[in-house]
Amino acid sequence: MLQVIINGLLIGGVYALVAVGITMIHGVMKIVNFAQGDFLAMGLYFTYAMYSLMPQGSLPYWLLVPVGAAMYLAGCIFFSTTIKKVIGKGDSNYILLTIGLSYIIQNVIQLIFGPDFKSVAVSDQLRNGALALGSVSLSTARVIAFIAAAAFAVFVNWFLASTDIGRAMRATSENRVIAESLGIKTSIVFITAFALGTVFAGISGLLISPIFLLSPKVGSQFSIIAMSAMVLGGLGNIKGALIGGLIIGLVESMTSSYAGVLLSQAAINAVLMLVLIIRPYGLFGKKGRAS
Amino acid sequence: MGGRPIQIEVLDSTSDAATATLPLERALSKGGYTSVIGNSNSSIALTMLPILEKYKVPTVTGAAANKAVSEQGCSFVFQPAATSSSFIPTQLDFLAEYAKRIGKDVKDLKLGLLYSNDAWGTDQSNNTRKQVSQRGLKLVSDEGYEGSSFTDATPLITKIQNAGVDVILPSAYPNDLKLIFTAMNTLNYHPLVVGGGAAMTWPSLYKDLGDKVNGLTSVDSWCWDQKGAKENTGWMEMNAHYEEKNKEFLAGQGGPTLFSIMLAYEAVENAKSDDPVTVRDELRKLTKDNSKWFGVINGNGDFDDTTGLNTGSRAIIMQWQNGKPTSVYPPEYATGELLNPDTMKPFEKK
Repeated sequence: MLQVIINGLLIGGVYALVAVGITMIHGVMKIVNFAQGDFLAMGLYFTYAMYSLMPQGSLPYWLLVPVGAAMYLAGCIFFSTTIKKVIGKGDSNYILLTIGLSYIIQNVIQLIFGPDFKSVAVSDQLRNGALALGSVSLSTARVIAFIAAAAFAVFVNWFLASTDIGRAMRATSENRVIAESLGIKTSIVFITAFALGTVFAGISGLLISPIFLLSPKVGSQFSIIAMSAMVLGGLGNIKGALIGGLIIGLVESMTSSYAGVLLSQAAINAVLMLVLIIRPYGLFGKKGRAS
Repeated sequence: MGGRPIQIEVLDSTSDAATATLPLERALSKGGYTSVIGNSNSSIALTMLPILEKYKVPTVTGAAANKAVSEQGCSFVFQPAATSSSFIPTQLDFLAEYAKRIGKDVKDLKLGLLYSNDAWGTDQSNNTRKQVSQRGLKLVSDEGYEGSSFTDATPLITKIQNAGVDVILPSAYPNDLKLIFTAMNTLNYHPLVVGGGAAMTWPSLYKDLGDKVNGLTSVDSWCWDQKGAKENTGWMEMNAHYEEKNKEFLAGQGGPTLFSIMLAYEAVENAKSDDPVTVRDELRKLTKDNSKWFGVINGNGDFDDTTGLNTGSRAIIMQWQNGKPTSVYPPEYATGELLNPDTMKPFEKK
């Protein structure tokens, strides 16, 4: 049982990080980014490309800054060329736009890297290594991913609470009009939020690079999970996204272990439905507000 | 051929059965195609059949392993490679041989079935259950999953480990296999693995697992060093060229695909025509006895006149040794020696 719980928390940490990114974007801009999983795929492929320049057996985590910077730049470009056009312009334009962006990213990845599965050639110690804690065995790569995700969660909380831009993002998410009337440059806030959301997804990609094979569509399964975590936690609520990600990881692990892998998606959705029936705005969401 | 250049056009099936027919229909509607090669993915091959029948262009399906591909009444499909109806008996015969080598009764081994929930995986699993029951073997774990849907195989492997499985029979694609083997390594759980083909026999498995791949076994319709291939000089020349160019061996889908191309080529040569219906008729006539290439595939090659299934094809067991798969069973098709997966040395005589 302990092994099952810890397995769930470890993968839940990665889900939480992807969910935080999508939540940040929704919280500030009130749009759901259907390409969030593909941003994770971009992070994976940036890692793959940059890692090929490093000595064999190096830790991919050294690429945190360059991958983060590349994803930030990509996020700024995506926002400026596409997303900016649809903010506040209608209820559903962003859906088609971000779905279209998802397809474009997948196809560009395939054009550049090809459709074949690839892997980041990390050391065997990292790829297959395990930490033994009593009766529990933990994958080294997953533990590192979880710790890093937790560190980013702490960073996000600090960022939103203690920095000017973070406070501006929170103000904009509460009420854009009032925020603008108070002198907050919402154009800066939007691009920052979107780029940061992109960075979180890309960093998630880097963190899972020792664990997953790369393929153009690898991000799709994470998009769905991230959205589920976001809704479960409450739209626009960062803390909720974190908790939502962990809960989904736990549900997935426990269902797979005791009932069957085929039932895990059903179980996740059942939990989501149950929570929404009891709390229609998610665990930490509130009607008409987003924090 | 005959002074005319052969044009090969590569169409992207998108790896999605729902959209795979679009590029095929677009191409065949333009006309001018003598034959199609593929698809090695059974789910996609099934969707192609109505299009082929509509435009009357034959296909030789490469490594598609679900027999249903040739049971849909399409008169333009040719399925050359061994199907799961051959895979499973070969896997279980091999298991009996392995049990004998380690001094055990195969009926004492606890089997675990793990399969992707698609046309190929479910076909494999259905055939496995039937055969396991007929042979009186113990199936203690039976886990299906949606391909590429899980992000962590540890819960799944924990469950299988807790069931006491001695032999895992996985039918999985690359990313799922990576997660499965990584989970097994994390949990220090090393049952005998007899895979169901696909990603178990691809070069990417070695790139991914490194030397931990050695000892893993799998059934497949093809192994680059199987007897029929090694005894065909022309084939080995192409094989050498492939290895030199791509720096890897001709893998589980690659071999049957090349084989399919050569059969189509031979049919066009025999037909002395590029008319697809005539080529289809020539494909039907090809057998191991009159074809330069049919002997490359294991078994007695002969396409059924009605279904297009190669009824004589047989599967083979390969074992990863020194980072490359080697054919090890059955002796009539294999050229390598089965090593003890635990020691990677020959079995001690019991």
